[in-house]
Amino acid sequence: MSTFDHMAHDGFSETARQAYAACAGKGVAASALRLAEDGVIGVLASETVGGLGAELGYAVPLVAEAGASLLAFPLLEMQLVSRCCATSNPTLVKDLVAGRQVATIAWRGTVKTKRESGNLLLDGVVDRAPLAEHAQHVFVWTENGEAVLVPTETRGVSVRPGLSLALETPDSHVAMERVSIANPIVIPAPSGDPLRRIESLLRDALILQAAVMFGSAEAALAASIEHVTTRRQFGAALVANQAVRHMLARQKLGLEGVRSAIDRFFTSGTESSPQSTLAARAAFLHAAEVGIKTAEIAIQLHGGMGFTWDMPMHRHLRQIRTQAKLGGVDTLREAMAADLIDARNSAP
Amino acid sequence: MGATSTQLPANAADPALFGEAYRQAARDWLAANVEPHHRDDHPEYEAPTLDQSKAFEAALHRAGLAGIMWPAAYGGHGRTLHEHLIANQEIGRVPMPESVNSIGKELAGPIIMAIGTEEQKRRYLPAILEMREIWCQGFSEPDAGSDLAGLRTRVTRDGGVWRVNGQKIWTSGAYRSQRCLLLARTGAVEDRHKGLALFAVPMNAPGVTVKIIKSMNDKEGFCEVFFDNVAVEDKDALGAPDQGWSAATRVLGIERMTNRMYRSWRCENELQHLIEACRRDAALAPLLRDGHFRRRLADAQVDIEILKGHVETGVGALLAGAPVGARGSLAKLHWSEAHQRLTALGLEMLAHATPKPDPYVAQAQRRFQDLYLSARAETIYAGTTEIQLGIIADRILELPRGR
Repeated sequence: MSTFDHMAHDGFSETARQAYAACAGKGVAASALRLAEDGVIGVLASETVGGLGAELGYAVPLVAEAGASLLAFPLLEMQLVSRCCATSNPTLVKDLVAGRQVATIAWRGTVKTKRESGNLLLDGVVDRAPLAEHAQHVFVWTENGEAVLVPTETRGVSVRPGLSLALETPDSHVAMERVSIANPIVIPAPSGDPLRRIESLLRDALILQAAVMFGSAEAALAASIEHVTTRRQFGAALVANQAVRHMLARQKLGLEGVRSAIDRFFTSGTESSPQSTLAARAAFLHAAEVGIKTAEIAIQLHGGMGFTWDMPMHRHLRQIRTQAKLGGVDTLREAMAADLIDARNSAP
Repeated sequence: MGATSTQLPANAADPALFGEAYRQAARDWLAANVEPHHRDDHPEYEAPTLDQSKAFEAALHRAGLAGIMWPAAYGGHGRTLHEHLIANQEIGRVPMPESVNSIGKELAGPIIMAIGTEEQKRRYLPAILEMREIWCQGFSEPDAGSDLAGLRTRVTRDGGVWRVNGQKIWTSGAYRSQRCLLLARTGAVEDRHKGLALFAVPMNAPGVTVKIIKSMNDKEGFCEVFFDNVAVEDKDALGAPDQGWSAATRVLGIERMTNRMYRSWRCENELQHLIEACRRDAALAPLLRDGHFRRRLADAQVDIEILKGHVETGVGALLAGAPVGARGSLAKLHWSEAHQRLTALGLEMLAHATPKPDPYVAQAQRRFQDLYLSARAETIYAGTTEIQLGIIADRILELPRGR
């Protein structure tokens, strides 16, 4: 069974879709409370903090649906932080899972850290943090490979909007200047943590980001199909043209490739293996390429209407391009090339 | 090839072996039995002769690596799709020669199993696996390529036999085949899909003429086949007229999914060969540090991962008993285009080699030149790219006609 079919049977996806629809125009804080009601935020967090303790596969259709629904909320970031920090700070994670607080992740950059009088001092600028201006916590990486959850209200932390295409989840810069945290939540580097949580988080994030792009692109493709089957020109629906049919078929080919690649990740065996990392990277890179193309073609097939603000095609394009940026397409591709050329990925 | 003289280190034909034990047995057998100089990545590569290929493929079958899912009663090994996938993964990893009887094993055999009589199954199927009979496919005609339903080759009743008259084209390997899986019509051309019937025509029957067509890659593989009043007995008619074609197309839908599953793993072998050749050549090594080529190499690996995903999704669906439908078109279309990209990349990179490359690099150059040219056919045969896109539009997206 496909990963995307997991939740379809118990109606969780449908519940989530209704929750996302209810969040439209509500703002991040109100959305958090609404999403928490249906257990969407805490799907991966352990039951001890109010989560569902489900495996990653259960989050895939949920974030795909969020992509399709153009949800204005850092959902996958909340899901991953809630899972990652449940042991180290259960009190905070209970608040996240309940929607009382919001956390996001700064996907790029690292900060310098220093211990001083028992406190942790942070300095540096990170960015690509979706909706950080609305978050109470931002998850940042340190130069020594650890991660720290930083309260955005802490003195010395400044959040400012980045240059972003995104409308629903614009990403921000987060600058830290001698930020002192008394009881920091530090997630150890992979080598220091038998659960390899950071490594898992980065790899799993690729799958969830791929799923967001997939869901968004599927919605754009569905809109394209609806348009070309109803819009008539030259005495026939646009879909009568082979050029149009083949264009849509190509997008479907690409999207089914993404679906299969995500499934392949889940069947690639043990976690944190070279194979699962390769599968996650491939799924993400393919989703980025196919997703962007599908949204661009949706705009093209809608003609002049596709270029208007009111049609959501540009929102899908912006969302997919933003997810592609957050995951770091070029960096990932180079990492893949490095592994390939070093022959570390010669396995099944 | 050394198949006839080598002791089997482990026997994948042993029905007690499953899963990873089966994989190891397959891997060991291939390592011991594919002659090094018949591997496409060997510096002193030599193409096997037809007799060598037949002997090797017969041994491959005896070793449990061909006819994997066919019933034991017909010479097969009666295994599951899971073992079929494992065997294909291992076969893909070894750059061994392509089968000279793929039509028999991947097309004729499954169709015979679906619509043949018990007598036909026992007569034809073991002969395919034992390489006593090589098959070719008589479907396409000069005026019926993608539009197969427009074919004109006629069969008529003449006393107690069928008489075949017409011409087939693009019939790969017809010159070396003992049987032709012939698609012909019993009625008028205007009947389109109605009245299409399948036959197993002996290629040595009087009136069968084969003419080799030289292909653009300098090979003499595919042929024209002329049928001049050829008599075919009832025992060689596959299924009833009107029923044969529809049954065959159902089989073909599944076959498009399961045939040559090894492709993605073979592509991976080709990619590794390319990279290794680059490492060994002073003029090529810098390309592995060049951002443009690094990006394209990574993209090639993404392509391969996606293809593996398509294959495994299809296998999962089949194992779960779900309908495969047109899913095979996704895998075929992705593979054929991805392989063209990979072979073009290899050709372009290897062109930068030093003027007198070492034999390993020179063989990589020859291999990729051959692959690049051969791959031009891959978006044409077994349903062109345009046909596959049409299938996806019609049967997966279910787009209305719009008029």
